[in-house]
Amino acid sequence: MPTLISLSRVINYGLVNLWRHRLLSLTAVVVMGISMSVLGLLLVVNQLADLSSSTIKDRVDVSIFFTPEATDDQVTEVKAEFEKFEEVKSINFISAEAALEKFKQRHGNDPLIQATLLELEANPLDSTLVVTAHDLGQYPLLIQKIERSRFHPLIKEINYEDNRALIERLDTITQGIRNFGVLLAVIFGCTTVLVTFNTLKLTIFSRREEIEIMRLVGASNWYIRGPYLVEGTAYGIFGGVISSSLIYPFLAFVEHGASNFFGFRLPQASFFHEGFWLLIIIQIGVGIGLGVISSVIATRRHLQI
Amino acid sequence: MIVFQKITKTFKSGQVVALKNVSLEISQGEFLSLVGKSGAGKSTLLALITLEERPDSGRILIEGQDLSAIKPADSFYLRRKIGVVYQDIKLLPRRTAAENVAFAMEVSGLPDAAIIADVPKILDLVGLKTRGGAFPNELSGGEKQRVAIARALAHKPALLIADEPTGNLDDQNALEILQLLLKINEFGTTVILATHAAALVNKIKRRVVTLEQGEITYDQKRGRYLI
Repeated sequence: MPTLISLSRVINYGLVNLWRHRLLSLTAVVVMGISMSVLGLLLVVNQLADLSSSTIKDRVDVSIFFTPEATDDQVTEVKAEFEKFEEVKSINFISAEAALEKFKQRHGNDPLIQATLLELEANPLDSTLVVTAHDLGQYPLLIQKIERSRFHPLIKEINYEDNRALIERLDTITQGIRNFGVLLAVIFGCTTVLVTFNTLKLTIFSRREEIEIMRLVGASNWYIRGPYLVEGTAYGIFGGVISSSLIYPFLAFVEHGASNFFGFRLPQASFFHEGFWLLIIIQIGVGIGLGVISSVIATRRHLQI
Repeated sequence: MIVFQKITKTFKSGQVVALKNVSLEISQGEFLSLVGKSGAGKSTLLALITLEERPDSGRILIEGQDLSAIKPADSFYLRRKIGVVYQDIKLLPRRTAAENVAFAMEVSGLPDAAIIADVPKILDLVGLKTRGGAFPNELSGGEKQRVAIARALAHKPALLIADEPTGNLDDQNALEILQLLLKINEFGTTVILATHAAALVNKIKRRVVTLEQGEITYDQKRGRYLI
């Protein structure tokens, strides 16, 4: 029980501290809020960069076109064989008929193409296997394996659009954004710690009499320290809440534009949807972390415990 | 209760010798006056008991416990057994007399019910029954010192240390404070009074230990202040 009583008193003192120096506290909370907003934005930008690069990567595949002589059964056999390659992530079989159907649909309102198709007796399209690899770097090897396989005579053409150069460039940019982001986050993190530290330092100085008496009458160290930890934590929570409430409308505002720009629907798990909770937790969590670090430094240096 | 064994304490890396080979034994329930000029080592001796200072050599035992075995972070356990009253009274200016006493009890982790019940009793003991609601600036010097004593007693210490508690008081008030300390001593609390007020010490005829330049020069059972 004494521990519980002390805990509630420590929390109480901390909050009273916060209120007594509301203007100071406000400064710390605002700086914390700005930092957490920057952190949140960096996380969002980083996620968008990741999403766009992985979307482009997902769009890379190898199309294997078969000769008209190859039967569906044979192609199915080839598919079964290729699925055994460890590099293969997925294989999609599009039969010649299905390909034609799709083609017709796509050009349904183009009378010229429709007419041309009617002229043709046989299906001009081939059966196709669309192969994706687990990793971008595996494509050259995969293509080699396909070419060397015993089914090679059945294959008319292997189509691989080499997007690697483009993707690598995109990766470099993503990495650049990330490095810059980390640097920015560190700068803002340090600023926050400094400002919070100074705020707490002032609070400690203004209460030094009280602290001296606390020590005189036998307060334990954590009892003296506790209120400042509470204060630091509170700055983190308030800062995190501020930044979350700033970022929420921002994300809602740019969501439509972002999905249009990148040409894909932002996944449910992204920060724009359900992932927003994660963003809130990260912001408040990091805020609390910085607050606690600041108060530990401040009490270490100015309480002489 | 307290045993000093050959204690030496220096400051400024040995240049200033505050205590030189001091040995002293204080029993439970004793009232001891520690006298001597400013700089004789009185405050240093008291600071060693509250662990604000550590000796260069020698041992200090309180109730059989060797103080050198107590880590700085655990020193508050010891302080809770000891009540301290200083010349510069150190009350919280924005709290009433009762709140100042209550604050000490809060810090010791006592439940609210006990604080509400005990504060008036302690204030009554020090003769401030009706002054609990007054702020320090509304109290006289003697009254402030009584609040400080009440605060020092709040956690029911076995030992009360008073470092020049009458230093800023007129004779009448000083005498009253001394009588209060004697009354506390009668309840069984060991009291160590550091002072250079010769008249007071001579009046009470209790044990007097005289310090001169860091050394004990007299230790008298029913003593007088000799220098």
